[in-house]
Amino acid sequence: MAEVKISTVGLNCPKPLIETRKAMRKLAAGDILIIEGDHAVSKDEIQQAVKDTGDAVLGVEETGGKWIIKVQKS
Amino acid sequence: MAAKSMTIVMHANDLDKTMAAFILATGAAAKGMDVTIFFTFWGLMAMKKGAADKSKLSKFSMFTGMMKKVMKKQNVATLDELIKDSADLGVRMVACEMTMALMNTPKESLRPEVTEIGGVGTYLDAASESNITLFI
Repeated sequence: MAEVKISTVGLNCPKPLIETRKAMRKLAAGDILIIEGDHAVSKDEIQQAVKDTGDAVLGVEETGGKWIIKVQKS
Repeated sequence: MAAKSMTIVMHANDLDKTMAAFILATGAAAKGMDVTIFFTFWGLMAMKKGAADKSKLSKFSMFTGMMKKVMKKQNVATLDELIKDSADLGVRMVACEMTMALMNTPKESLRPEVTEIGGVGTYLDAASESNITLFI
């Protein structure tokens, strides 16, 4: 089971979503993706998109405008 | 939301409109939707090799350069980048066969991301199975 990290810090809509999906497509079932970013709207949109594709959001952390979302590919 | 599908007719060649089409396409694909874009008329001209960098705003086109600088400063993806991302996410891109003939635009003159050639039937088949259809 692999764990991959990507950073979307500084990127604007819709790049955080795009980069998340591009990374998820490369993973196998059970793999973990950790997405770091600071685009406020994308924090919620990424979680919804991950649910839309049938994958799981494991956790979200936010500190000082930066967020980290941990997801698992189903 | 279960995976659904979206079909876009891209008729425009203006930067603000083509950006909108590809932002919607990449966003939908990121949400697991099947996306088809059908390029017709000026929209097909936007898909010629080298056209993305020359695209201008639909209004106040003399300010296109200024807008591009602001977009870069704000870390907004370029049109060229969004087209490449669309292909990476599996967006289906179809060139209108009639426009190709009308505007002397052979397949070789189009970007490699445009992998299909079709007619009105191709669009209608995709659109009739889509939850969202847009004309841009």
